[in-house]
Amino acid sequence: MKFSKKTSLVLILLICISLFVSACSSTNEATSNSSSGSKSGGKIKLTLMIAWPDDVNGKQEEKMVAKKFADKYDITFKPVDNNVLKSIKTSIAAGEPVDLSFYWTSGMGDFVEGDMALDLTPYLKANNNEWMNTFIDGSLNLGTIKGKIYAVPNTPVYPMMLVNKDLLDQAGVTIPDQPTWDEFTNAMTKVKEKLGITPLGIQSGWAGWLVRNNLFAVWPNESKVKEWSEGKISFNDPEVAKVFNATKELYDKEYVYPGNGALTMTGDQVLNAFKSKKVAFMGYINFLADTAIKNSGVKNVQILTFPHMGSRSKVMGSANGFMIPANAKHPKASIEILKYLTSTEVLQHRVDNGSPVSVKGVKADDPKIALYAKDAGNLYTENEISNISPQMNDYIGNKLPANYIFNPKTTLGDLEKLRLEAIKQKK
Amino acid sequence: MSIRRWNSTMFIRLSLIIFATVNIYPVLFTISTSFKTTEEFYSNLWSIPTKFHIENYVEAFKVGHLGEYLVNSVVIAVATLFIVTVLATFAAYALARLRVPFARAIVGLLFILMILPAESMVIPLYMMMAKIKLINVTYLPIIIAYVGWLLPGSIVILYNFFRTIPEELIESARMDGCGELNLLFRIVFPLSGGAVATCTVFNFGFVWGELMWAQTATLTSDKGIPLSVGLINFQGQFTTDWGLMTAGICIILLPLILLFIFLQRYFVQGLSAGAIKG
Amino acid sequence: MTSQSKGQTINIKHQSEYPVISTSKGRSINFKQRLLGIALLIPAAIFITFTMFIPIFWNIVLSFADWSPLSGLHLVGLDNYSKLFQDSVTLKGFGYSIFIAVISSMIAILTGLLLALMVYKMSNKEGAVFRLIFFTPSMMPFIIIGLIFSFILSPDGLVNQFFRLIGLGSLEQAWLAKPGLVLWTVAVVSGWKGAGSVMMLLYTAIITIPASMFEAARLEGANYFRQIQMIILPLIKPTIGMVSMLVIIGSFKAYDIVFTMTKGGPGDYSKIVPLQMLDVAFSFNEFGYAAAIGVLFTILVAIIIFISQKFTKGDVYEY
Repeated sequence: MKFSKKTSLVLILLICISLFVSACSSTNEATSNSSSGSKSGGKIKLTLMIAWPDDVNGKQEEKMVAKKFADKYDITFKPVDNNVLKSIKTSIAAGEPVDLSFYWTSGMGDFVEGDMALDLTPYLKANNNEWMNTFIDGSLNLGTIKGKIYAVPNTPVYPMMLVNKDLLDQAGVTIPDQPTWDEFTNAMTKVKEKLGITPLGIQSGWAGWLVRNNLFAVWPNESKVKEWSEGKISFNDPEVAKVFNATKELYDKEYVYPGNGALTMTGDQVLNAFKSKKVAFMGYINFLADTAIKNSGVKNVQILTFPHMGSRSKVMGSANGFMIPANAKHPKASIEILKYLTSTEVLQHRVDNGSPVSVKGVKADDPKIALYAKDAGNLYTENEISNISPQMNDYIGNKLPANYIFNPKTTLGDLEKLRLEAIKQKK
Repeated sequence: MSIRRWNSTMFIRLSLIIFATVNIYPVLFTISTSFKTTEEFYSNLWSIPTKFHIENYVEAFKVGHLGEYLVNSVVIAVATLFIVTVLATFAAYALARLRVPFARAIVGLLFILMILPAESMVIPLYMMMAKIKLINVTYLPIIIAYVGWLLPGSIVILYNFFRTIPEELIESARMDGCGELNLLFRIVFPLSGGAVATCTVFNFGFVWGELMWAQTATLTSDKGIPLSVGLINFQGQFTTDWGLMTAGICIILLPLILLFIFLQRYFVQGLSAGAIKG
Repeated sequence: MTSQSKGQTINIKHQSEYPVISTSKGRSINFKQRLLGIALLIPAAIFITFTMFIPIFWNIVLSFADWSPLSGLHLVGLDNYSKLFQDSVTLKGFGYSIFIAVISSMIAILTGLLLALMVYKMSNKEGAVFRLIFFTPSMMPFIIIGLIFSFILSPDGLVNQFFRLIGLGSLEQAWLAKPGLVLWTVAVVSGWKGAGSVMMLLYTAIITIPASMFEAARLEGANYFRQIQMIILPLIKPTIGMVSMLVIIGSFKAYDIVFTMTKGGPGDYSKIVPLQMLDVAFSFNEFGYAAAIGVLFTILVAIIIFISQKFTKGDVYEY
């Protein structure tokens, strides 16, 4: 049975009609949209990308923003996903930028090179630094490049270690709350011996912290730290090799869950391992620690500051925050919403849900909250070495420790090359 | 002799079954996960769920707006496939049988166009559409891009097919005084069922799962979002809700499978339509 | 029994041998044909120009320049290209792309052919079920396959558990975490997905072979294997050629599947060209360089396709 001419004509007609109808209805919207520029019925139209799909607080904030500005703006919310950088830049390139977006304050280097981010400094400093003063001291540093502030934070983000204290007790081991690297590795060795498990679980995206934190910590004094952060120390320095090797050892000796293949572990898998007692230590991120501990069902958890080589117990950190594209169409509107999102009114809700925030003036009743934020004042204010160029950022952020583990010599060579290039650019 | 044949058929059947099991396992895994809760999932990845939680599906529709996305995907797919099929058939026939100048070269060019990675075309397309204010129209940017990208491939496949229609057939129709257009509709189209079905299935697969352009084109609006972009809502920054996700995946897969089953008939029939009586 | 002569039997002559009408009426028919032909081409041409030619042109220009969304365009001549040849990550990426393309194409074509031959032997109903099962992976969007397989291939995943089950625990691997192995793994998954399409296309070619062909063979007592050799393979050779081309072209575009399974990891070890292009553009703001990579990649793939065309002997378009 082939399509007889009649039936095929009828089908074609049907499809045409449905297409026509849908196109018509959408063109109606389009003409009303485009004819009034980006205003629809008098309200300014904004697109905001502020919440990850699994960010319960973020979703709540979307609702709050929608409610508060319902009369003024017509807001479309888009979820933040792993393509956020691409999405923002594409929208900027086409002249239809999103009006406000989530971004990590330490990552603004990605935008500034192309002058793609709006300089927020004048707004922050207006009225005698009114807005600026609401932020915890030092938290605006990360988003500052060459004296200009391009992003404001709402949540400090830094790594920490969660320990299943029961397992430690079983292995007859204790570890202080701010362990040195040696104390950390010794404890892990004992755990591996006595309990036969891979002591550490850390997901692939966060494994780089093992190296990155120590790249800060290993230097004997503050001035060296500063030099390092500016890229003035060579990657061939023996201290650097020490740091990389320390992490490589962990993987080679199969201290990291699940042994072979540790480099591709996802967050879910590591969490599951922590839950089923297959690891004793879990590298985690501070503002999600509360949920993780609750979900894991592990009752006796000790919270450690991320282990450090050397004697300084500071921690590398970043912050979740927001940025505005430089060619945003309604910067004043964006700023207004941004101010609201970083106000105590909104951020108090985050605190109530167990997450530390970057502004002053919020009350934390639950003492545990203090635990998750205990290192918030203990962060390195110097930029990470990754900030000296986007290529360095990409390498350090995405390719460590894997590249070093498989190819130590070339990796150091590559990094050194990147450093020299970046220095050359800065001159 | 009959024993030999029995052996070889049985052997073939056995190997097919083994292959099929391996093939279908991922799909079964997805389906079974979609009925689990997240905890159940992590406790034992490979088990069959004890209770069939359809909450994932319910939630996918309610919270994840999958119903809306499904409709959008269908609209985009139908429109794209229709336009591509019609235009590709016209173009392929023209190139194959209407003695268009430089036909071979054009087909060669189309071949090259198929090689191009879509990634490099996203930004310029988006910029262009933004300039002509097309970007805020629902569905159109996506449909236009998909049609343009799928045309070369479909034209090449149909071209090859049309070349196999014997020249005598067409000539005899022409000699009988059949007008060109009539010939096209009455004779050529019905014959091409199989090839068109093939193209359709492949094109549908592309449209259904394309993510990059769909996400970019719907960046500043919340209308006309297809399923592939909707799935993003289930992937968090650090965790993924696998139950919801697999439910979404199953919903995505279902129309594909239905379409394939529906078109099976045309694969076989279109090809066995005898135009020349022996 | 009607012979389904659709150009499949070996006796069909080609275009050049139809009777020539050499009157003025013939010439105007010719002309009308051409006109209609061009008219039919125009709609398609419009779409393709808009969605492909303009972006291609933009890309080519961009590859000779330095550009970033809000800063202007500065032409820099061949800088981007020379940079490419010194960039080891990108060069390795080309190698990875080629590797994955070759391996996955081979797997797809061979497996697809095998499956088509086997399914053909089955009765229609059974065959239909098998066809559905084998074709399903081809229809699944890459993203989904990537996700599912990242589970199956994880260290605790199905594959390793299976090995454990049958006592071959030593074969357990970190399929997606070891530098060389990850490429093989991705290639196999990609090939597996393509096999279904190949099977379908070849199957539709096989079923157009008239049954009369097989009658003779059966009378002679040839078993299926002989039949394959003597009848099926030679007749569908052109289709195999065309399908191979399509598969090879598709295998170079493996962006989605690699991205969801490994994101280019571990480290850089599976960073195929499309991934690298996007990183360079969006992470480094070097859009001009990314365009240059894209242009070179396209040229490379085109060359490979031409070479493999010669290899499969003869013109793809000739049937």
